[in-house]
Amino acid sequence: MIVDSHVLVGKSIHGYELQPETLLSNMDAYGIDRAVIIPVQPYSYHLEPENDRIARIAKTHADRFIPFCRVDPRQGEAAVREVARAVDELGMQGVYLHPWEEGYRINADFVVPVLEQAVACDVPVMIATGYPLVSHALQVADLAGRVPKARIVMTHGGQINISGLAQPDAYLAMQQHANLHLETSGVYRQDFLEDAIDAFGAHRVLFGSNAPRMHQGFELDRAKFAAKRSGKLHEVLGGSLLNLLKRGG
Amino acid sequence: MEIVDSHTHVDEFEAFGWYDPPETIIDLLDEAGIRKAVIMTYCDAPVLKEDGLQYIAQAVRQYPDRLIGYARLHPQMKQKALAMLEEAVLDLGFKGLKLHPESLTTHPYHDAAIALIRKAGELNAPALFHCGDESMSLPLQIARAAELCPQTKIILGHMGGYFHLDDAIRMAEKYENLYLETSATPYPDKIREAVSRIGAERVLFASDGPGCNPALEVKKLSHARLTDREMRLVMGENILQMLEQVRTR
Repeated sequence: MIVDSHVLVGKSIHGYELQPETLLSNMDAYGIDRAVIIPVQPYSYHLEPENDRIARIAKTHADRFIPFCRVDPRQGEAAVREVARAVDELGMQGVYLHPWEEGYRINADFVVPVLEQAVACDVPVMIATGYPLVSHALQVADLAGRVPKARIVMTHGGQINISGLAQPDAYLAMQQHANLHLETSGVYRQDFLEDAIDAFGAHRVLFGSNAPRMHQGFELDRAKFAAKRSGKLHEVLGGSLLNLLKRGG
Repeated sequence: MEIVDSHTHVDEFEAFGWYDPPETIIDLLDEAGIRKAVIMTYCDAPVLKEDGLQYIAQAVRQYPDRLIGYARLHPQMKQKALAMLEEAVLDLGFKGLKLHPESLTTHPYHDAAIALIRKAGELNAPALFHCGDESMSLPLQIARAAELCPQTKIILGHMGGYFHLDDAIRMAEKYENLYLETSATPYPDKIREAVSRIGAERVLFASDGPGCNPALEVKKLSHARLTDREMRLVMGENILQMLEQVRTR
């Protein structure tokens, strides 16, 4: 069972677009069984209608899509309430935060209540990590330390640095916080992913593509190559993500 | 189709724990079906590694059919660096210059860098730049060097990294002596766009191995939807033709 843990669906104001029919056809072409589908930041800026839309799409394709909600923690109480609504009423199975696209520092105080609500709802939180100024690995680590019960996934292997210079930060974050996990999209060095699987366990490393921004087929290649040495393909390519979802369900 | 990797590393660099003697890259090239590779150190000679060029020359002597040397130098060594480049190319058979501005703490258009890039041009040797998202390695900065050194072929390694590919492609449209190199950047669609906008003749395949897996980087090109002719040029013919023109004594 191959699960892409990181796909954005919709028409984003950041200039990319992916609709469910295209996604399904790509998934079939690449042999991907299921995908976590995540709202984009739309032209209207409002995330709640996008959460409604993603929940609807997931219901229509319940065997293929796992819906996550997206909130902007700067909205304070409204963001916390939206997490509860998305999980309890819409049946969504995780929370996605994009500090770069929305524009806030991930370890700001106002992010903590959103994570606490995710813990109360027993769902994981995926954070777009490695972006300049707002979501370095150590900033996400700081947040992880403040909400140790939160199950947190750092996208892009916790780093976006094409000199490989953020690798030690991502590694340190994973060493210090057992509640942190790594998603594989766009990671610069393969040995980082291989070493992470060895050092932290395959259950803490998840295949994700960041489609459509990144290329779903190539990112699956990347994850397969990285998991080859350890032989833990089953976990990395899907088992780890499924294990992170609501414990009750 | 003969594949030539235009950017790989051979070095033992304690500071980052990157231990990659020539056998490491040779094994990876064999796995990937790559015939030849350009190699260079991680360290800037002579600063962090006084015998950096001898180290590379020795590796090339060990595998003369497989490996080609570039001189990774520190331009702030001024006359010494110029002399080292000349000796490397004319006496040791090196075929290019490598500059990593972050490592050098030197802008691409700094006088010292320009002098070394001009010297490369006199020798008909290309200058390969690390070109990503970092403070002194941006396409718009390296483009200034291209403007000041029209006789030198300047290669943008990683073609702009994660966030600066549009700048890289635009600058390559503006300056005929700029080339785009495909290693590490995770966007096969951008490689397709680059070939469409500037022609396959100025796009070069590379892996940045061993850190980035060469076989995976070759796979990335299979997602770029290039024609057979474009693939032949990008995967080997372009770089071989470029390096044939480098002066010898």
